[in-house]
Amino acid sequence: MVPSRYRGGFRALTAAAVPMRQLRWLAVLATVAMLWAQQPPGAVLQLVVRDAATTQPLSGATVRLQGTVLGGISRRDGTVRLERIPAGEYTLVVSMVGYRVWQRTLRLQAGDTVRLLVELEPQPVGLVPIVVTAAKRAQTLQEAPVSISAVELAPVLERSYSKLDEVLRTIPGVTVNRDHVSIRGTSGFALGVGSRTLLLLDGIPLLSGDSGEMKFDALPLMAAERIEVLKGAASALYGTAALGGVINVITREPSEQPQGAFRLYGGLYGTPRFEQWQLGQRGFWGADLSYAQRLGPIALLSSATVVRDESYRLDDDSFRWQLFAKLTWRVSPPTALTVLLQHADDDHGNWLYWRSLQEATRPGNEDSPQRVRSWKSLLAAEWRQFWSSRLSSTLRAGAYRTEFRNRLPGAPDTLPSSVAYSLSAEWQWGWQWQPNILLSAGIHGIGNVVEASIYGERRQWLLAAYAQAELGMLRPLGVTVGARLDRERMQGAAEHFELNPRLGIVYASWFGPQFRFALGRAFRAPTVAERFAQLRTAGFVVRPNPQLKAERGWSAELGAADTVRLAGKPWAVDVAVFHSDLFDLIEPGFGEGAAIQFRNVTRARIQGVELNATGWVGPSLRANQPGTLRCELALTLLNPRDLSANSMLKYRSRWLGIARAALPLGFGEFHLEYRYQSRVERIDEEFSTLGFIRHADQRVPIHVVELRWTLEGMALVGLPVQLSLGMRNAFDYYYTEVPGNLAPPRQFVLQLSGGW
Amino acid sequence: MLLLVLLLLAGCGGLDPTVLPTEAYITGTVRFRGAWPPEDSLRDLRVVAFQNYPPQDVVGEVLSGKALFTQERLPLFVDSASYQLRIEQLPVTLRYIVVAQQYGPDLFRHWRGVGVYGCPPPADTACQPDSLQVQEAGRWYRADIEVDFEHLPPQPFP
Repeated sequence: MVPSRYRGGFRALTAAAVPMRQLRWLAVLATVAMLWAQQPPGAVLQLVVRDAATTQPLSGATVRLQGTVLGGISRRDGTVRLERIPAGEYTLVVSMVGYRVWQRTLRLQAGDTVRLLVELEPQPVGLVPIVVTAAKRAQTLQEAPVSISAVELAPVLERSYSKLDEVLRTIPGVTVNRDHVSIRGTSGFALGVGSRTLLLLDGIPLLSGDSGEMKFDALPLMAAERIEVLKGAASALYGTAALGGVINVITREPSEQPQGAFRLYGGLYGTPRFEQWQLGQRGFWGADLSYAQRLGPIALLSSATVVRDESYRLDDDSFRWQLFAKLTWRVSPPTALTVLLQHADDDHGNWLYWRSLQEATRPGNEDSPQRVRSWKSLLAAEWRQFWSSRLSSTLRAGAYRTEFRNRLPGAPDTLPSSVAYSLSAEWQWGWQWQPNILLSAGIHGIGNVVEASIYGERRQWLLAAYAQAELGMLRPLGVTVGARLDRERMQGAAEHFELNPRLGIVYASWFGPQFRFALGRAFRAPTVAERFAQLRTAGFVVRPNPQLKAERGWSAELGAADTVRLAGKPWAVDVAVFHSDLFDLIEPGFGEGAAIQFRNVTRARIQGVELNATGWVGPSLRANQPGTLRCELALTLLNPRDLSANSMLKYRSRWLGIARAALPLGFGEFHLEYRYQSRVERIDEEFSTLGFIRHADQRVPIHVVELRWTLEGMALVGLPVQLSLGMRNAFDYYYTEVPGNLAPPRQFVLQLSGGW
Repeated sequence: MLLLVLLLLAGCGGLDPTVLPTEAYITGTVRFRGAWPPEDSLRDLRVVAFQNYPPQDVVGEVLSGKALFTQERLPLFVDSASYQLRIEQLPVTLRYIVVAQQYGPDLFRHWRGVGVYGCPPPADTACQPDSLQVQEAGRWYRADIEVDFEHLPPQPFP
């Protein structure tokens, strides 16, 4: 039976006099509409979500029916409406940042209209309640047996950040050494080559096929909802590159109300207080636009970004833009197809290192200022199918193309260049075998296809199968066991297999704290660049090493999380003790003729402790009330040892710390952040001994303070806009993260943002 | 608050191009081969860098400011060990860099060279040690040394 509103529309379309080609398209669209319309009417669920403490409606809460693709986002008045729900028993889950997860089991009949009032209980600020990275499925943060930092993007975007690395520096236990992300000290510095952290966009791998590198500017931050950082070995689920952890950028789910947002910002670099470093007034600006809407079964999320940065260093300027779109089609209640499209273009100066400490804002290769043009494109699709309330499958496939070309204006085109495709296809199944036993399994293939002047024509293939069981029948004990077998093949290199098991335990104690334990093995296959790079640039000579083996490691973690009351306010406290043993680590080293070559040289052990505390102080019952001071403290102590050289691992700090405070003032908020990294104890001495970089060993501890004042347009002028005045590196503290690279001095930033 | 404003205006610390390093460093790896001697004959093991070649002795040259030695003794019974020497008086030419072993109880006399920079074992009497000119402050200079306890180099000490 076709509902009358569809029947009328179809008749009107076929009666119109339109060309045959358009008619074909119209017929396809009409068929789709009819298929959608022919779905049984099902039940309707109407919710009102509000704050349990203040009874105010909550906008932006995520509502989903577990085991289906049905869900929605609450509107400004707190309402959500889910339609066409097939009859059956469901678990309704409502979650929102800053609130405890709400769950209830419902039995729905066809034709039912169920109205529910959902009151969410506040919990300590800043906690993202639902994560997807630990088990490749949605679960509460408390269910995950490993440490996960989940960062909500909306507050971060108030800070005019436009690249992923800027966000990652604000996450506890994470450092960024130029192009390398290091989670709890697992990575050093190799100009981005061979990331030991896997990067995902909505679960799709996003490391370049040639160098296994993160391209920080390729991520659509404006379209992202949150970033999840899984800390520790994760190859049992994710395979290669997840040696130190996984970063998963999760994009937003559109609601039925159209949501648009914009961001315009501009800033100036402060004049360095040393005359030797002054280059005249320089600045940066950027603009972002995003739009999201769900129209029946179709949901669209899109964003556009453009950024121009003159840089505080000579020949280091950049111009980049990016487009992103996500299209989701809910074919039927149990079926959804999502397509991701992304393209980023970047043109920047090829800054490598300074001329000297006295000329720290001038490049060492000033005489031949190269530029780099790079393109990053992603086409990916995900097909999710719930075969029943117990059985589901997800088919994910993606093609990530990266290309870069170095060029020297006026010179022949013989400089390094590379075109690489990273292809990924994964078929994952989930089966709720028993009420407390969830089984997952999947097969995963990765292909890296490279054509490069510096790596040659190379093909690398990884095939894998994995399985995992989550056992909850021993409540309050939850146990996860799993393993993944990977096989790697690359032309000119030996084939090898890697078996990576995993064990996770979560225990909700009767006296309050929740304990977790994780143990897992991980590996990283050498990238094409590490095996076959052969180039001569900026004074460096790089030689290939096809004999490289995969690097491997075991990591274990014991953690505890609890909410404690301090001065009458709830504070979320999390402590983790971790240990990693790493074998055959691939590091660039200087060999014969001062040439750089990647080698399996390092046997390492990293031990440490991480403490996170989040809460607020002040008279109010709520964290975002005027006069309350929201606080976040994080401290990481690391002991990263190079057992081969009996010394500290290179490019690691022993102490990492972040302190953050926000003070709501009624018409806006004042923010302060302090980031600390103790002095890196060891670097590659050859940068200095071989005379590549003058004053290469000049480094100090890192103290960076950021101040920001945000004014709410709604409170001041009745408009949905926000004005932010910020000062980054407010104390104008001069430091390096890697040799010969002065970090940005003080910056003044003005941002106007808004949404509807 | 006033302090905060003053700090913001003044800037506070970090790298400073007007305070340049005045010292240089020698760094390197000592690789050991052959059977190690008994532990009771390994009373001390250090890298010593001499301005004179041949030197008169170890302790006397150090006391007279003509030689430098590593602050900590090298680890024993290992395959390799890294070391660092800080050079404060620049420029200087180090004509003889040696791994020196104190094999007996006499601090002044019981020393011998077991590995020489520029004379990998087996080194005969014709081998001329490499010199290292340390001139530039803030720079690290590299000097790797090989030691073979079964093939000791020619002994410079009386």
